[in-house]
Amino acid sequence: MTDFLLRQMRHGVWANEKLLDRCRALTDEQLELTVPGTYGTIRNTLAHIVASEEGYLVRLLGSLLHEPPLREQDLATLDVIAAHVVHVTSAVERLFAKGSLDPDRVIADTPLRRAGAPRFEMAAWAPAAQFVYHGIDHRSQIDTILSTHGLETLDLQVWPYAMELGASREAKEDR
Amino acid sequence: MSTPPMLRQMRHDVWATRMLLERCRSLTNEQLQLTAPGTYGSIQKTFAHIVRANEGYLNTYGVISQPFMELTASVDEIASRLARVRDAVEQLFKSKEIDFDEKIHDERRKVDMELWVPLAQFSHHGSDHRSQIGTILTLNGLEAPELDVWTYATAEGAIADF
Repeated sequence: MTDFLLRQMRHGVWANEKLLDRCRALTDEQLELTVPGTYGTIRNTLAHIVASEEGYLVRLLGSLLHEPPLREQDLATLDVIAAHVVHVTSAVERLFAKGSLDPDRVIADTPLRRAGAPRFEMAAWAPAAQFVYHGIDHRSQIDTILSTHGLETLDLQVWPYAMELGASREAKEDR
Repeated sequence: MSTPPMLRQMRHDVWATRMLLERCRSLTNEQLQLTAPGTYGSIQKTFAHIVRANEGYLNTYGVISQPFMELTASVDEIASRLARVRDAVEQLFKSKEIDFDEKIHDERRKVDMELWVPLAQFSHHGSDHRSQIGTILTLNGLEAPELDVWTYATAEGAIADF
């Protein structure tokens, strides 16, 4: 049986890729659009999603995914963000390569902790669940920005993802 | 025995909806009707939509029955229905181990699907729409609570700083 968390993380990666592809059709000016009450511009929000996901995975795996990690202050281009999505995709699969995650395993620190920053100990389920939650939250904000500015949005729910995977399909009439 | 990560995820989801609903109890009726472009609708209607959808997803597993909540429900009724959702989530994971890869026919939605799909959608859907309520609150100068997993896990004692 495929691990449920793996399914959710794969959905998150799929949604990021779809949204990035959609945003490639935007102009530079459109990528800088925002609305009050959201994280920031479309570009910054995309970078924030992916940089955070790298952070959660580094904590879960206990090692850097690559050097250097994506930093939000770098004003990353969509190409740079897309390159980091590839790192995230690979790390998600690596996380589950040896079976299910032990949700109660205590993670004592992260290799990305800056000097002088506080150290957090946490059960592994927390960064894993945060990975799933965080992406949904911020992709929703990008959807709101696009919609507010009259730009086409995407359906990034689990329903279309499952359809694409073949895990859900319209039932035959003669059933 | 470990708590299944999926149950953790769903508990966080129900917790987040409950916290946001509690926050919104201090809003006036007029404020509950606030909305923002690009969101589902008013705060009240979005809450009802979240919880009604939760009922629908859990109905797939036989742990919650119809009729589902109306979209015009009051905050009190939404809170009451959310408590039912919370109990159904616990019941779902108390029952025999579910094979989430099992394929089922869902007559209500007229689809054949694997059992993991509605539960993953449960988690996605609530987060998506709570984010919209957060945007509506902030846009209108109203405080929005922190609903991420860090906050939940800290409250659960699963995170400690040193």
